[in-house]
Amino acid sequence: MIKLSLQSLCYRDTFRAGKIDLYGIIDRAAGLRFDGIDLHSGHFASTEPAYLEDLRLRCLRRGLHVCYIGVSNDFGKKGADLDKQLAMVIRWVDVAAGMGVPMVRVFGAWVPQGEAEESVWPRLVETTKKAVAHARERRVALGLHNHNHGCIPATGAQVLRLLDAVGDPYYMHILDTGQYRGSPGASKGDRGKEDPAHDFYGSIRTSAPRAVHVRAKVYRIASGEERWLDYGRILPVIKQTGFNGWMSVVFEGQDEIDEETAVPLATAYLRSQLTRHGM
Amino acid sequence: MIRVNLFSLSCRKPGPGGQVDLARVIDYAAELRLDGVDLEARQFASKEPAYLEQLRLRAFERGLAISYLGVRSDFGRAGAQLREEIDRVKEWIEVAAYMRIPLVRVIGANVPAGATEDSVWPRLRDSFREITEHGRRHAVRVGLHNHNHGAIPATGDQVLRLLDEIDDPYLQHIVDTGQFRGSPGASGQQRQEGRVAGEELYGHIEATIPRASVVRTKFYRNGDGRERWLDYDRVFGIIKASGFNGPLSIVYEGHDALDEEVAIPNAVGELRSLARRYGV
Repeated sequence: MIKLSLQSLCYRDTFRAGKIDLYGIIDRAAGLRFDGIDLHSGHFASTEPAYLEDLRLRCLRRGLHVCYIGVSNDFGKKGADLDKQLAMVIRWVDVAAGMGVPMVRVFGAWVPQGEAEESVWPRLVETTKKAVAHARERRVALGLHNHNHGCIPATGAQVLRLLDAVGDPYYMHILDTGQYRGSPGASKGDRGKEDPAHDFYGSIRTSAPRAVHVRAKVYRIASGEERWLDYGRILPVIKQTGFNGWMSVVFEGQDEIDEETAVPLATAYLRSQLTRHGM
Repeated sequence: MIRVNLFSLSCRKPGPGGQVDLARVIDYAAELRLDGVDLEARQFASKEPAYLEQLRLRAFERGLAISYLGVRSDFGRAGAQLREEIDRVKEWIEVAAYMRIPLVRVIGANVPAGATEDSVWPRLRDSFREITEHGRRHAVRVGLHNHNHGAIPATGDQVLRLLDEIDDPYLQHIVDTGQFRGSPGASGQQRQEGRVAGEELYGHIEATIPRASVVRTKFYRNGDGRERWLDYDRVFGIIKASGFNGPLSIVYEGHDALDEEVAIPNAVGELRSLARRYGV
């Protein structure tokens, strides 16, 4: 069956307001009877071994599997800035290895203003290869997360291109249901509107067979049903691939309702959709 | 929610190599759309890093978490034999660490002829202390598995006593629904068709489940889709009341009566349907 995981960024605003820490988020996930949790690197209070072991044991005691650590890198930068991005990914790969977390989520590249997408590709591929070489040595997978907002890869074809250009068993794919070009959750400047010029459901169809993890975005859940993404369309596509892994609940509708209200609604909604589709 | 895993020893049919192939067990668990797979040490073809890593990645890519690695042990032995038991468990703790499996399942002690439970207890406790310490060094927890057939701990009280005497976050408990006193399936007992678990069994499960990381769900006779020696409807009532949110590990031991290829899917069906019904 598909197992549900809580992405710690569901509590982005509560965390920023200092009202919850990672321990609290883990407890919240257990309270909602999640099967796992994804930890965003920005939510770690430190990377001291004692703290990391404490987090790991807390998750285990509560029956939660840690699916991945999320790192927000940008391999579109240049020179020393790019080196820093690579060093950051490498550092979090080491943290994941120490905690026994099997995967680190990485992005591709933001395309700098004035530069063409195509000219960014060579340094994106080359830097990713370096990161993957380290990840392979530490036996941690890097999970490529599709991402729009001026990033690549932002389409299914671009995800496949990057996966194939890197071509390593430790480089895998994390499919984000709301981050393909054309999605109402990721359209540049026009949030909430699907861009029909880009078939984002088609992108999901293209990359889903390569996914080892799915991030299920939820943007508008006040009614108890997600309004921006059509899970009645998305889930059958994922089901068809035979996917049997982890699916994260990723709530990003803080501009509609608060996180305390939204996360249980989003969780109940996704569970009911998974049951409905026999997944 | 409750996850359902497959324990590899449920699969006993040898592959083309003459042995059970763990890679095939992992594939089978994925075909059954299970949530995880738990591996028995005796079924590993080797401890070579490349083999271990290949198994780990195979499970990961199929969305299966490995919740524990099962090791046989008998801390009722004495002298050099006891040392061998302890050292073997330690070796497998290191394998688990390499594979990033968070828990190693360990059995307690057989009570040798002429000895008493009380006389065996100190070496049982000291052995667990030693392996738990080794577990901590490698960030792997030890999972105490209740086990009957003249072994200890075989009751809820004995499990709690051992956990409390050691009192260490790296020592956890793995409930086995068929291995407490009162179960007709406890190994070593004369099996008689038609026997069902006594009242006592459920009391032991209820006593220890609040301390459990994993529940091993035994299946002995489930040809019609429902386990007959143990009452899983009742076990799920206990699970629900306890708030347990970890994995169930299917352990099939009815090979003398029914083919595993029929019994294991039956067990999956029964556990999934009870999990839905109890809303766990």
